[in-house]
Amino acid sequence: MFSLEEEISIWRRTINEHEAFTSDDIAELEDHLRAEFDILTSAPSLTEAEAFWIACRRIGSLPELALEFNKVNRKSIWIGRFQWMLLGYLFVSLLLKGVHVLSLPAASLAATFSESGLVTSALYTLSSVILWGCVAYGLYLVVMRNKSGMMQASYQRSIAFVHTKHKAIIIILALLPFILVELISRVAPIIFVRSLSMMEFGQFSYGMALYQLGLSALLPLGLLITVFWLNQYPLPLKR
Amino acid sequence: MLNKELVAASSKPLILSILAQQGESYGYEIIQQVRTLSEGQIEWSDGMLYPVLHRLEKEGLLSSEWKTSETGRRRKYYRLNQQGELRLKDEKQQWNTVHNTLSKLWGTSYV
Repeated sequence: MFSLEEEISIWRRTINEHEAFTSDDIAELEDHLRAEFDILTSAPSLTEAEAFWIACRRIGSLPELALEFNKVNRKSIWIGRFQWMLLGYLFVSLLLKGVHVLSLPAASLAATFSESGLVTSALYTLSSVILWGCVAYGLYLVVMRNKSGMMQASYQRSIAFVHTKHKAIIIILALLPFILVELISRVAPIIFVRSLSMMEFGQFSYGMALYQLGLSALLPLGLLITVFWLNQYPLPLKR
Repeated sequence: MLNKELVAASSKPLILSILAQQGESYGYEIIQQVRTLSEGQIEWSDGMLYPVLHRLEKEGLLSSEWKTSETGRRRKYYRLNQQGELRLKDEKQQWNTVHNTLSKLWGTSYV
């Protein structure tokens, strides 16, 4: 049985794979497709499937269209790429920080029971490897599910999310604490450490560690809240 | 059938003129109108109209607005703005020059 909605969602998925089209472009082309389909099905000699096929042919081949849209949307395409790069960078840094923070207890535990640095570093490495394994497995699951179409809805939503006007704000908000942490934790030791006594140095390191731990936990939380907050606003037309 | 270069070159004055006449229109309607008026002689690959519309919008000749159409779907409507009207005047003059020149050359033998 022919289902227009199903065919359109397949068509939308295909067009989504080209970065040349913005969400507004896709909505506009979809409206065109539907208008053409409505006209064609009013001719009694065509089945719905035939009408849809013709409508798709008339709108043009997607790679050829992408070429033309590419020229018009060049600026926004590059902004989008740049933002993905930033997001990727942020994501990896967060993972690194998370793994580090979770591996520390294992290392300190080892340090408590053993005098040897070897055991400590071995345990630290081992727990890092296990944690990275978990992360890799999680990513693998996400990718596989996307492939099998189970997470199609959330996948499309994430694409729509990337297309919002708010994306610049998100990236800046997400990066701000990150940059601050990096700046403070690198600059502060250079300025203070040399003038500190042994005791003060210990306290300083302890404070620094707590501060980093806190931010490592707060950063993803802040990101999540930002994402949910922005999702309250209607996305521009990418259904 | 018109050749590709001429189709591409004439798309701008065609779109501007249709919008000047209609006041407000959307992609599908513009294509249908071109097809009808040219009696099928000007054939656009439908999707290709939209990058042209967007370029004209970026040039500041058109303004656009998303509205709900009579079918209940969201649809992007375009209209000519002041700068577009000026550009249309200019285009008219240029196309008329070409037309007049060719008419003079062909006038006796062709018509």
